[in-house]
Amino acid sequence: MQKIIGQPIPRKDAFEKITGKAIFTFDIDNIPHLLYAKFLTSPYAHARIININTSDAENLPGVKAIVTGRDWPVKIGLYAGDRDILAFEKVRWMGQPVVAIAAKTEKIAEDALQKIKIDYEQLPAIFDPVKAKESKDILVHEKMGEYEHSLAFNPIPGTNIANHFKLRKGNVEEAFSGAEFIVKNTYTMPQVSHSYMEPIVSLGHYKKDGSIEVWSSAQSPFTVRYLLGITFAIPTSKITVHSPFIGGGFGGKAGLNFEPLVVLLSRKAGNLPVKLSLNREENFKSAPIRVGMVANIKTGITGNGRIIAQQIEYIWDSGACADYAVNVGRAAGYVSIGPYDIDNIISDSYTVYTNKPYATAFRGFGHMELSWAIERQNDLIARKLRIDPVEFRLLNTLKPGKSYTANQQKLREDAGSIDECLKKVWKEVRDNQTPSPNDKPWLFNGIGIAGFMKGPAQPPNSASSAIVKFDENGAIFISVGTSEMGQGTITSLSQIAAEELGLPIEKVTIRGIRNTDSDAYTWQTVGSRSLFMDGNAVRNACLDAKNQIFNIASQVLKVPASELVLENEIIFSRGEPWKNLILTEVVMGYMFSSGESIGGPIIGRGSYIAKMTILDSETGAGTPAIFETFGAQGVEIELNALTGEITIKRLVSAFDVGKAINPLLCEGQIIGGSVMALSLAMNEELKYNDKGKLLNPNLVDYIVSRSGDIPKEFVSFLIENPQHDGPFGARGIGELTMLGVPAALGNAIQNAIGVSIKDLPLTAENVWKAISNQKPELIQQLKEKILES
Amino acid sequence: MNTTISYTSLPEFEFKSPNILKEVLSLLNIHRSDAVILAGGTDLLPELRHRIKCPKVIIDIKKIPELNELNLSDKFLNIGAAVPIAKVLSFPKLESLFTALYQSLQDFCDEILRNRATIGGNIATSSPAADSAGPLLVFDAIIEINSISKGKHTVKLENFFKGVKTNCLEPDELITRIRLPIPEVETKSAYFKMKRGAEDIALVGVAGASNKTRTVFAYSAVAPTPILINASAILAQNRNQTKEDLFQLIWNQIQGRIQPISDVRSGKEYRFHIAEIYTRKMLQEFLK
Repeated sequence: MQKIIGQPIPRKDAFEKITGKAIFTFDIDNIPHLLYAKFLTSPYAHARIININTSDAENLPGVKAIVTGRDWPVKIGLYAGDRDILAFEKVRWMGQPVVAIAAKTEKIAEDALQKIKIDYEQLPAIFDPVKAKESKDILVHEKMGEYEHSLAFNPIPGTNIANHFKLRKGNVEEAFSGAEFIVKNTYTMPQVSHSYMEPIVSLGHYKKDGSIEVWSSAQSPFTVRYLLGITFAIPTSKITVHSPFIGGGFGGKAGLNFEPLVVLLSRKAGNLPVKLSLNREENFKSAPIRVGMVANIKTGITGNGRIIAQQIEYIWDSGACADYAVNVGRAAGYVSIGPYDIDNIISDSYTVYTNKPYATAFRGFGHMELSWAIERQNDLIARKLRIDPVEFRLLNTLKPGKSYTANQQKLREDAGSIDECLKKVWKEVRDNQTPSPNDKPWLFNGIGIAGFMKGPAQPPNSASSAIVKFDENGAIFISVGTSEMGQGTITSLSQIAAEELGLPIEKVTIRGIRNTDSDAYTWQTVGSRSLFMDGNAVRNACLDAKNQIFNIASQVLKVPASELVLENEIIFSRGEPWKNLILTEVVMGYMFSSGESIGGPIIGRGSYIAKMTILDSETGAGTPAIFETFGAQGVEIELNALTGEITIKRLVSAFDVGKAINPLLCEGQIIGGSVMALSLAMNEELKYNDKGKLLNPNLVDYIVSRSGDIPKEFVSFLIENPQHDGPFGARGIGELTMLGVPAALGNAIQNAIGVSIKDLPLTAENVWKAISNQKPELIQQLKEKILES
Repeated sequence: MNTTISYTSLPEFEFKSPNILKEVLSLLNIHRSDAVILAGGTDLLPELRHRIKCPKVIIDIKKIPELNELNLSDKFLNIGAAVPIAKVLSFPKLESLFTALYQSLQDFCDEILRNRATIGGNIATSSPAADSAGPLLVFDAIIEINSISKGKHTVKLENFFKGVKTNCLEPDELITRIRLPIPEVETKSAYFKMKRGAEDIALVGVAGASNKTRTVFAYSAVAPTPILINASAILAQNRNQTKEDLFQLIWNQIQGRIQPISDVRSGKEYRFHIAEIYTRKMLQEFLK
């Protein structure tokens, strides 16, 4: 009987954060001789750097270091090394950092930047990802062939294609010729910003002894340490990365960002520490963003509603660098078709360079984007076939024993159920559906649904570890590598440990700040992987500790270790509970009455490594993920046809989480993720002019949902088909909570008013435009009805 | 100025925070265009950070007692230029007497900024999208101005705006208060605002006020300045027309005056369309 698993325990980091006591990187400024950095950015989207004159700036009192791309012309990146620390030889987007200065104050650094003169020779730029994919004359990276990249990727030098992922199964051409219906559409989603609350802050200290210490708002401090080592050719043992609490990351802080820049400045500034704090505008223009998508989908269907062929082209607009976005294209490539079982697939996923800000990971990692395309497409097919949208999906969903790539390991029996998610959501949405109001004929109610799945996109050797230590009172301190940035992981990991070791939750401490010297290793905090990967590591560490405890107790109680139980901080014999020891008697070593002592402080260690395979480069065959979480989301909307405004009446979600370790945190993720997805679906878009200038680098014109935009009603279902290798059966949920919202919304608009929209965002203006184009007479009729109401 | 720097700091300036009005006027008289007024600062701070304004002197008017007065007198509602929007909203009779103004102020930036932002500042900034401008126009607001050179005088709001972010204020002049005549009994009024989320600048703002003798509409964000359109004559002369015909007569007059633009916030077609929809909605409210 589980006592702590499944309990709605409030977040352990909540009090610190709500009371303002939590420490973020911005708060760290008590380091002696700290300097402040600012950078100058490119005024052109694509240009050759002819000359940089820094001499006037150098003479300004208080300026301690000026660096340019020439100071350290090394390309950095996790998967594709394609990014300059500062622009070297040419600039590739408007907003790219070109010169950086460290000075005694931020103001001096800004004043010094004004004195720098740069000569550029403008080059033709390319902004449209579809054109960029075909372009041979305008190249964002003409030296792509010289770049280092991880072997899982397939860049095409001489083009703008940073990665081409292929998925092949069956014979698509033959299947299309046998199809009763063929539906072909193009769907798009724009580039967007992560809009985390805390802009990026990095502090770097390149010390005189050659070691490096960094504080950064980084999701993955161990990856920062590893990549800094490569960038500066220094062993990781000489690098310490601190990552205090993070004010939201959503993937935007997953890779290596401005850490090399502050380290480089520190190195040049006589080894003084340097801090860079981006303001919101800089964060929009110069920090990474999320890919845009163009999806071309052609589907072949039989008369009875079975999808027999799917041909897909995904074009991911990665901007000027594709470091992390090559993996977005890969991950979206292997799940191209969504949670469905289709025998014939040909899918090409291209990550493409353009002269815009560069993209990185973003919550959902391509899956929300592809779900917009796939689930709009499936709704359009169901309409064409006049089949209920869920009935149509259920004819085609992925079932255990089936696979979504050729020769792939079949979907396991305990993988969870997409069907249950779809049915549960649709029943809830339909049972509570309300008719459109009679007195306002311009208001239309509608419902829509979308199904999806996602697993962590990580390398096969991605690993996690945990160390558990006791104090004299039997409380434990757990060291993990995963970062707390709002997901609640340190709380759910605490619950796993408390359950395994029979401790009250109050006796478990996991600190929310990270330090790569003292914390246990984890690969990264991304992809909804932490609960599963780090959760298993924590559980293994607790099991290891428990074994050690039982070994000592066994010697004391003269009971075989296998007969011992640990509950309520007491170790006792299963059949003879009067033979017992209090936990505190054992955890620091047991002392017999004679004074003879055995054991010693208990330290449990645990680790976990992903079990996947490298995918075949020609067909995509293999096992791409350690688990897939299935989910479905539905909405009921009220649409004002005259203005295009949409009101969300209810948002219903179901996820097969395997086991809800903490239902309260699941609910928090569902509401948070749904609102974020609504904001993306209804408002968010990075807008550029024809020179590549970002037109809305601020929160006035880049619209993010505010509290007043949150829908009034959420309904959530947590389905628990356990996955046997998950911690207590659990799967990840974090990213899943966004994936279906845009498509469900698009489908609901179609259901409400019969208008089909294939491009995001669904702003009131865009919705109105679509209605005006597709039903001009309707708007005219409704206009006149205002004066009759 | 180099536009490739995103400034975090503010430019250097001298900060003055007088306690008496006379001192403000005298500082304006000395520094003229080199000085800017800080009423709420919600527009000024981003302008300073972006170096759109680099004044030598910033004069804070928050501490001036008479600029913080909010009262009903002589058949006027008087709103001091430094009164924060949140305080105006708390005025008991605002909602019943000046419904359109109440509605616009309730939707003015966000709850936090309403504690700083002022109507005086909103009018002095003279943005085409100013939320308070439309409702103040339909209530025939009078702007009270003071300066050492000209002394205290007033100008009707209708004649105040001159273009995008420009108005008839001389560099040494200060808005001291906004005076709203108490409307006739049974005056209906409303403010409709199209925005891109719960808290936003108006993409289009339409205000209206109507009673037995007078019906007016005002438009924000669809012309270089907020504009006032008087439909009283059309309504008086066409009592027997259908509502649709009445609307067309009024809309013909409005169409010629509004000239929305396309920008990062919205397209001109949408702004034009929403102006029409909101005018219809407003007329329907008035004719009910």
